[in-house]
Amino acid sequence: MISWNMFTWFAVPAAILWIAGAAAAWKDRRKLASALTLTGIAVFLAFILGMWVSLERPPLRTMGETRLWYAFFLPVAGMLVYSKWKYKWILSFSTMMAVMFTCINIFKPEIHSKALMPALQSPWFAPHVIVYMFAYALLGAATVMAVYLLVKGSKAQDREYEICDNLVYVGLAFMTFGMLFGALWAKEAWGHYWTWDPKETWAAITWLSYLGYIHLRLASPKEKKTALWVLVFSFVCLQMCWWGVNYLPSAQGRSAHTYSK
Amino acid sequence: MWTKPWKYAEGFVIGAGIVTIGGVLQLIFGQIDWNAFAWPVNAIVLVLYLTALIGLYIFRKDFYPAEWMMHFKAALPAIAWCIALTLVIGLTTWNLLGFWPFVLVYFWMTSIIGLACIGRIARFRIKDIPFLLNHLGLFLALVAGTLGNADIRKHDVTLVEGSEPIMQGSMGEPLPVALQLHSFTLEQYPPKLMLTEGEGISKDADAFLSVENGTLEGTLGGWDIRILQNIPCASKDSLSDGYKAWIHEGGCCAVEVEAQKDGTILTGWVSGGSIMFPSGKIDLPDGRSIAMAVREPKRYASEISAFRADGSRIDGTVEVNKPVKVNGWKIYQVDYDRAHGQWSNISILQLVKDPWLPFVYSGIFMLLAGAVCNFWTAARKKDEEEDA
Repeated sequence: MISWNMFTWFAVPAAILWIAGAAAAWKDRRKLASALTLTGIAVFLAFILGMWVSLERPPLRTMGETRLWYAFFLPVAGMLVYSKWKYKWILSFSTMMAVMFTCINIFKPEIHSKALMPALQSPWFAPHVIVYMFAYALLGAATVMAVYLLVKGSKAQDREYEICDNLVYVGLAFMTFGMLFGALWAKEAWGHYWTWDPKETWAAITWLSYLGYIHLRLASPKEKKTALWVLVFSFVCLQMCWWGVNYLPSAQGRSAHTYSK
Repeated sequence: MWTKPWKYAEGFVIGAGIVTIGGVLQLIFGQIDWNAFAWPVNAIVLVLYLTALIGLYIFRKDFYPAEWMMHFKAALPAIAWCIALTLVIGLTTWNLLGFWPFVLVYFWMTSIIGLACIGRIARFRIKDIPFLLNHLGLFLALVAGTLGNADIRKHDVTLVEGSEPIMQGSMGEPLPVALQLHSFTLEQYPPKLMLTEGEGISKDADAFLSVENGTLEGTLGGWDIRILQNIPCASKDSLSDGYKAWIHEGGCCAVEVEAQKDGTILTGWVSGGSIMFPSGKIDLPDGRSIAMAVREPKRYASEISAFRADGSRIDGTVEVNKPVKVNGWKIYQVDYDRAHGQWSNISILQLVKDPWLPFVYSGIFMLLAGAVCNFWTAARKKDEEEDA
């Protein structure tokens, strides 16, 4: 049976494969880079699926478990961008972030408890969280791109801004799915689809903020720098929504979304 | 500013004006009373609102603000103001749902969305479908959700196992159907031993040990643990200071544990206790203790019957995440008697009816379809670039 004790045995080989893939990308060995990254993804996925089987529930409940998915989806998002736009550096960034989340899981796991409370026992649980995690990974990649463009300044090309745009379009589409699946689920579980619970409030702020970015890009394509800052701001809101609310004094004891103790 | 065409600055100033007006209304009238919008007021307001939006669209050439509202440059400041006021809810514990400035900025944004939709519908083209799904979906969800809120009916009801059908809710109000509880069942996860330190739980990685069937050994904070006995339903034995099997109401789970570390061996009983019996723990020489964590519920459900006014009857099992539908009402499992835990013979249910829900759901499904279109749009943009 797969357990958290074995995480290192999967995480370290996956990380090595991702790092090797990122290195191959820098050397323009595209097929090798893709093959290594995909193998790393497969190794990591094997652990997630193994945990799913041994926990007898999807590993989506604790912070440690959601980080597992995030670490998985980052290279996936990186691979998608890489195969489409051939950016040498994107795999390095996705690898770096995935390795960081993997390290957090090794050193500060927050992974206890096998129990899944009744409110979480729903067919909506897996799609709601997995779709959100994938959105977070894509929007994380968009943020990295935005910071890169902010540093690059006026030398950045239009094509590079379009990568940001597309990452946000797809990321926001996934986020919309995650949020609305959440609303449909909330109706079944709690009797109402939207209650301005702290997590929902921050989800709304984040969603609106990304909508702001899209509208700004469409309305004023020349306001590039402002748009990039909106993207950075949106990602800060996203972090509040994801884990910041757990620490927010105003949200203490008021959120129906706190499942991990 | 205020020279045509208006840009963002005008939008931000209008937003500030709306917040100010909202503030004044707040001082004069206090919180918005959403109950005042109960049927048929909400339907009348909806018709007036839609008429006003269509009117603004028709006379947009004579009334510049209406024309401007249909532009991107009006949408952005509205979104920004909505974010700003929602941030206040996010960062404080204030309830702004009846707060005039909050409601008015959302009203403003919704109106901009509505006008944009009317504009697209008036000169409809196939390629506007994604736009309409995204915008009309949000418009519908926001408007129906807000105006319909006053028509939501909720009843809390507490049922006792085996008693006669109940016809009144917790506030003494009549229920739409009479409800009877045949049985309430609670399944719990296996008991968990935990290592406590002072008032809290020890920081050790192995601070918990689940005592499942067949689990006989494990570790807790470096102590080797052996389970000597596991009694799911026990009473405290006052003579031996231990616990013994006792299958009656009020029994508690008790586990006899042997803890071993560096040659020290301790044995004792650990129990979470119950309403009848005290809990038990083992104090370790290092100042920590082995105790039993509060049992986590795995599943709880109520077997009920609902009796309609015409005498017909529906039987069902109400469970968390699995409400039962009766006469347009949904019955939810909310709670039980936590103090009695597995011995609870009480079930707390909630009946909810939301007549506007189909409209809200239509909006939500349009938004979902719109999100699918957005993938497609992004993919098409990529392809166009590659063709170029």
